[in-house]
Amino acid sequence: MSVLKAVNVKKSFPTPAGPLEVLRGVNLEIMPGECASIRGESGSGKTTLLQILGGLDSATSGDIFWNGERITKRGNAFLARARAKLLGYVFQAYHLVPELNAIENVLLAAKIAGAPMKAARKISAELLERVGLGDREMHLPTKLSGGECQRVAIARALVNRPPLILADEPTGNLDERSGNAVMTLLLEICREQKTALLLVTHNKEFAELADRKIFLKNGILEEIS
Amino acid sequence: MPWSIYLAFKQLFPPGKHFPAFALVSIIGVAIGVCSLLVVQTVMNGYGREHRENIQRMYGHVVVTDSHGGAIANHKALMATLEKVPGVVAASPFAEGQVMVRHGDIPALPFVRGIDLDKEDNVVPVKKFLTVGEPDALDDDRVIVGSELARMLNLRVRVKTGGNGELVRELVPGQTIEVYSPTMLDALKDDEVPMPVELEVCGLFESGYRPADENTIIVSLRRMQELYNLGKDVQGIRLRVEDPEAVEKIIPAICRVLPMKLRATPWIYVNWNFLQAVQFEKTLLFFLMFIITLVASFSIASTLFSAVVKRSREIGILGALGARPRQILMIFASQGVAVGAIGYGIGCVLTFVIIAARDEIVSFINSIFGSGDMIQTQYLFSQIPVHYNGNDFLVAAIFTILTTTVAGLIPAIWAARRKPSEAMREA
Repeated sequence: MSVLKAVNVKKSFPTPAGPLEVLRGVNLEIMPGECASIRGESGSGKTTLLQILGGLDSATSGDIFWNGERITKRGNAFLARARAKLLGYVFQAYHLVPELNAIENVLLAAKIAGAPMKAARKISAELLERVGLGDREMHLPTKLSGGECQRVAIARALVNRPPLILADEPTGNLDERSGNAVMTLLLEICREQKTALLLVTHNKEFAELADRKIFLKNGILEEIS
Repeated sequence: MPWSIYLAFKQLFPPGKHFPAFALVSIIGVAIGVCSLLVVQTVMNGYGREHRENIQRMYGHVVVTDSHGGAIANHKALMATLEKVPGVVAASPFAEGQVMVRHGDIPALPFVRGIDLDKEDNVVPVKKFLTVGEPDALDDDRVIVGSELARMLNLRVRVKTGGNGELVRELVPGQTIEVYSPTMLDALKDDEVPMPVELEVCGLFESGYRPADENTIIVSLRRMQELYNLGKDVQGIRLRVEDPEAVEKIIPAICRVLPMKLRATPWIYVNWNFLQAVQFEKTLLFFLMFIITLVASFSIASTLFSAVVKRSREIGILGALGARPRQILMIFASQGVAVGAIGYGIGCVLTFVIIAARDEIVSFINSIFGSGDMIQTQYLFSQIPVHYNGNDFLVAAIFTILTTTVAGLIPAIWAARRKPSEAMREA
C-alpha cells in the first residue's frame, strides 16, 4: 500500500482576470521507503503541491490518500493528528522555534505527536547525534549556522519515525557545501530508516539523487526515466 | 507540562533575554491597574469600617428611644428587662441635647451627653477615650470635654512628671465652663437674665472621630436631667450586643419587650444613608479603577496580535508538525493568563507596600502641593484608615485574570483558525 497517493488533484487561485490554474490534474503514488524528487521552475506550483499533499492546503478537486486513508475534506483536527504521526516536514528556511534550543525543537514534534517523554528524549538525542549535532543540543537556533539549523530540522522531521518525509527546497538557503552535506545526510537517513522521501527542488543535481525523478510542468507531473 | 504551555512561557520569557519587553510592559500595566484597584478598595474599606466603628463607639449598637421624642420613665426596670434579652450584653441610660457653653469670652454650642459613666463604659468605651484626667473624677459639678473643643475653648493642659518618672498631661486646675441649656431660657421671665451652670473641667477625651471630639461634652446623667428638666426620666437607653454585625437579628426580640411607644434603632440605621453612600462609592470606584486594568488588557491584546502576526510562519510550522488548532490557541491564550496572573501578584505586593507607606506618601504629596492635613480636616480621621478584605482581592483576581484571558484569547482564536499554508505564505 502506498504511503501517499494523489488522484487527479487540481488547484486554482482566484484572480481578477479569472481563476489561475496551478495544478491541472496531478496523479502521484509514493511507496514505502521510496525516494522521489519533484523538480520544476520557480512559480510552477511545487510548494503548493507539497502543501496539498501534506494536508496543509486544500485542493480545488481531486483526492489525497495517506497510508490508504482518504484525507480529502477531513477536519483540521484530524489532519493535524494524522500529520503528526505520518509526515515529517523539512522546509527551505528551517523554521525552528527561536525560543527553543536544538533538542527542544526536535522534542517539540514528538510532544505534539503525543510521544512518551522519556523515549522521545532518547530518540531526539540519538537523532541529533546522527546529524552531527550531539554536542550542540542546548544551543538556540541563533547560535547555529544555516546548515546546522537544517540538520536540526531534519532530526525534527524524523523524530516520530514517520513513513514519509516531505522536503521543500531543503538546501535553498544554504551554500553549496552545506547544501550537499544536508542533502546527503537526508537521503542517507531516509534510506537507513526506510522512510519514504518526497523532495521538491529546483536543483537538478539533488533531484538526480532520488530513485524517481518527476518534473512539474504546466500543472501536470511528468515522470522522467 | 503540556508543550503548548511550555512554549507559551518560552515565548513570554525568551531564554537569553534579560528584558523581555512584551512580558514586562504588559505585566507592569496589569500590576499598576490591580494596585490602583486594591489600594482604593482597601482605603474605602478602612473609611467605611472606621465610620461604622465610630457610629458604634458614639451610639452603641442599639438605641432605645421614645417614638415621639419624649422621655422614658422608669428606665431602671426597662434596662433590667432589656439586659435579659438573649444577645444583649449591657444597657446604659442617657440624656442628650444641645447647650451653649462659654469659657472666658469664647462661646461654643456643643452637644452634651449625660451618662452614668460606669454603665456607659459597658456599652461604649468612654473611659478608654480619656486622654487627660481620671474617669472617677466626673461628678454632677464636673464635665469632660472633647479634645478639639477644649483647644477651641482655650482650656489649658500642662505636662508634669509622674511618680514613675513618666510625663503626665493634666488640666490646669480650676478651669470652669459656663453651661446654658434651652430649658433655662424657657423658664425665664421677661426681664430675667439666664444664670449659667458652672462646671469644672475634669478631663478631656479623644475618640479619633473628629465631629465628636470637637463638638461634645460629657456630664453626669443627673446633671443632664437637671439641665433639661427631665426629673428622673432619661431620653434613651443604649445597648451593647454580642454580634454588632448581626444586630438586626435581635431587634425583633428587643421590640417584643419594649412598651408600645418606644422603638429600638440598630446602629446601622443611625447613619444609614451615609453608610450606603460609602458602599456605593466603593463599588463605583471599583469600576473606575478597573478601567486601568481594562486599558492594560487592551495593550496585552494589541501586543499579542502583533506577536501572532510576527509569529505567523511559526504558527504555520506548528500546524505542519501536527499541532491542533486548540493547542495553538492554548499557546497565546495562556500568555494572556500568565500576564494577568503575574501582574495580579505583583499588583498585590505593590498594594501592600503602598498601604504600608500611605501616611508617608500623603505627607509627601502634602509637602509638594501644600494642601495641609486634608485627612484630619476634611476626612475627619487622624490617619488614612485601611482595612484589607479578602473578597476584594478575590474579585480583583477574577476580573483581572478574566479580562487578560479574554485579551489573550482574541488573537489566540485568530491564530488557531488560520490554515498552516496561509500562515506560512503571509509571513
